[in-house]
Amino acid sequence: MTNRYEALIFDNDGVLVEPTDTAVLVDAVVEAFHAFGVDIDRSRARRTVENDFVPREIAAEHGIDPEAFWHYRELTASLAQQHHVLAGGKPVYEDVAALTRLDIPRAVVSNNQHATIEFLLAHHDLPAFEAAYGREPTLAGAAKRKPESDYIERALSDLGVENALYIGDSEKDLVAAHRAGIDSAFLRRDHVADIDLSTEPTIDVPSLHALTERLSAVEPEQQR
Amino acid sequence: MTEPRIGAAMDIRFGTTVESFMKYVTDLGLDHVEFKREYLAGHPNTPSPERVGELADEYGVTLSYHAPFRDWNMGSYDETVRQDSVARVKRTIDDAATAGATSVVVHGGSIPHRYPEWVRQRARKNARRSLAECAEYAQLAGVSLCLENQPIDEQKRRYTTSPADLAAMIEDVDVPPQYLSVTLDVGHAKVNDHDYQAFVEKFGQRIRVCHLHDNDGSADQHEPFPEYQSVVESVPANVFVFEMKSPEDVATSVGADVVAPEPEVSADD
Repeated sequence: MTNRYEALIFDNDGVLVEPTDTAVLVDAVVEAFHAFGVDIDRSRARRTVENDFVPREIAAEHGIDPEAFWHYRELTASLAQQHHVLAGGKPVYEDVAALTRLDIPRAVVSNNQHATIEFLLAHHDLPAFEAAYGREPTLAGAAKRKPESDYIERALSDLGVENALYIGDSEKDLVAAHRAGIDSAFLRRDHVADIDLSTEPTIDVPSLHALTERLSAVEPEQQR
Repeated sequence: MTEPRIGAAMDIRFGTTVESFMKYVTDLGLDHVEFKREYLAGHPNTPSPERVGELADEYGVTLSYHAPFRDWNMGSYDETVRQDSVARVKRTIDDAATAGATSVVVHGGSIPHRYPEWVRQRARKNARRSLAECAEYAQLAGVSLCLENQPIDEQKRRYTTSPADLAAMIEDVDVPPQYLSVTLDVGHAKVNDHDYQAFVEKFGQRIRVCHLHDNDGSADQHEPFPEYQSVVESVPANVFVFEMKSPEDVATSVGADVVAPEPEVSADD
């Protein structure tokens, strides 16, 4: 089945490494607003994290330039996550090692900050990825995050392939893959075990072990 | 930009089937139909969104949907009503995506003027929050949610009656602009004593849908609009939709002599 694809592209958080503790990101948002002279209610900061949106309305309420704020927020969030990782947070899932069984080019496309992705790839002992994209710390970069397909398309271009499989753990991942014109695999880990999907993935698997087995399986026509 | 489509909205008062209305619209030389979800829900022979899409292909028309606006208020200060209103918009987005429509028209919610200031403030906040939730859903579905300018209501405060108010509702929502656009209703602009060009200057290409109807400035009358061509030439919308009270008024607007379909469901049924 691997022959079906020229490359595999992975989401990061919840796929390769565990999702970031929400509290770490809420702290970063509160700190970023504080740097702009605003004491934001923690529950409000949490909503911006849980829904992963640029808090334009809060910035407007306080007369803050949203571009400047967002840049600072992204840097703060990235540094906070890096400290969190150094303290033992965001471990790599044990089944990531299974990917080395597949002899196929790999890339990462994440909605996390690009700086965070670069740090995680350098810090952890992960299989080699030929391309890696996180969102740029600008409003334009935020607008290109999944479910938009911009960063996946960049990875496809870097890899020089058209036929790839995107592996993610959210509806946005599946939609982004569909918009990029490639197949998708939904990785049904514990944190998304009961989720109902509106978009049907090409493959629905509980682990990267299972994915590796599916992709390694010899298709019936290859056996003949 | 491709040539804009011009069409008509189907109203529950018409009593026609979806197919007979599509035939009528195309007989008039038009090529777009807008469906109000409530009206589809109210008709005894409403086809599924899949079938609506098939019929649109057969008749060569493009589609837009209009989210519910009766018994509905996404600015409600009652959280149950607000969530239900959001869910109904999301269902309309689902139907639109299934039928192959690219735009969903939505109203911005309201609150009675007589209510205290803290309630009115909360309601506006809720309306904006609901709009953001619906726009994020529209982004996932690949459909454009198009917030409409509404007529001023003596009893209720609406949040989208002027270019500035409408802009304040959409400008801070964090989705790419192609998923949260504007419906310019020229009849509503006129009855509010706003030049519709003020909306064009404010929103430009962000206007995707334009509703066409006329009034004498005293009320939102939805009268025929034979002078619509100047609007088509000056508004950068993708689709222009006659919002009339009867199918005959659509023919009057475009100056065509085509017999309107017989109602299948009369007003008294």
